[in-house]
Amino acid sequence: MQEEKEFITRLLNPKTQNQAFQELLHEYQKPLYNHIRNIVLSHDDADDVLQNTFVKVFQNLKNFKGESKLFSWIYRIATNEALTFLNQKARKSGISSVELQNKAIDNLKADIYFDGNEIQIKLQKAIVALPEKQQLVFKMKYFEELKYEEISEILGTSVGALKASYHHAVKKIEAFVTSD
Amino acid sequence: MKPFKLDQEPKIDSGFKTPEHYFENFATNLIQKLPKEPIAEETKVVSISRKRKTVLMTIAAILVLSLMIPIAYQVNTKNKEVDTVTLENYLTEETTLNQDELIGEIEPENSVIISKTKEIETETLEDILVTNPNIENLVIEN
Repeated sequence: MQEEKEFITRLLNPKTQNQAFQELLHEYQKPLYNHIRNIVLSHDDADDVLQNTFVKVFQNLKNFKGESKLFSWIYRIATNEALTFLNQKARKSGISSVELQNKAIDNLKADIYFDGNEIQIKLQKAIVALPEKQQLVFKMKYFEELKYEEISEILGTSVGALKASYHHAVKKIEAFVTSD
Repeated sequence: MKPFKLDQEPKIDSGFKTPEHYFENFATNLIQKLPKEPIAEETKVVSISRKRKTVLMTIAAILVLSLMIPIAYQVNTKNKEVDTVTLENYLTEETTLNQDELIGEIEPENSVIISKTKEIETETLEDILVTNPNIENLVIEN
């Protein structure tokens, strides 16, 4: 915690902020990319959202009060950015967010930055059929292997509720894949 | 058909890949795109004209207050002292004492002063009688 405070101080100090921000980028760019890509599915979209996320983090560091961990604050920004991006894109296309995600899954086969087989595409289709919260919980737990406590801090949901969400999500996915 | 069980299958990877050297280039590109504005806590900026206006208003207020001091002092002084004319008028109009009774009320040390004054008045009166051409009128009046 003390280390994090010192790191934030370095991020706010004009003399040390460039170096500190590079360290922040180095630490978070890969996990955040995976987190965002799991939500928006396409690499190009994930790239846009990741850039917006870091710009927002940079601009709002002065407002970061340290009430939550830097990790969960950054993940929260990334999650909000990704969901907002999806909703805006769906609205512009005149379709629902679920339809947009189904379209993105259909495009995955042709995506040069997707190296998956039938079961991976089937799993993605099963995930899209879940409610938004269950989707998030499942992706963060199964693909990103975050702890329930970490997910709880990011989504602001109790660990018990997250476990229940994940359990329901797994049951629905298993049923979807079995019947498909 | 065999039911699909997620925990009994080998871990399924998301299958998402990135372009080669994506993360190395990402950091470089992002640094260039970041806004140039400082991220340190904003300091409240007070414009010079506003600061000057405040100083001028303070000086004006001090000047007005210093001009008000003598006026306020005079007002206070007038209120405390009883005007001599007012006192005389009061004694004339509001009391039933005549001049002799009034002198009788005055304490002995003060009556000496009045006597001395009276002597001086007598000498002065003689001078006036000698020099004044309307002496007859003055005698009749006394």
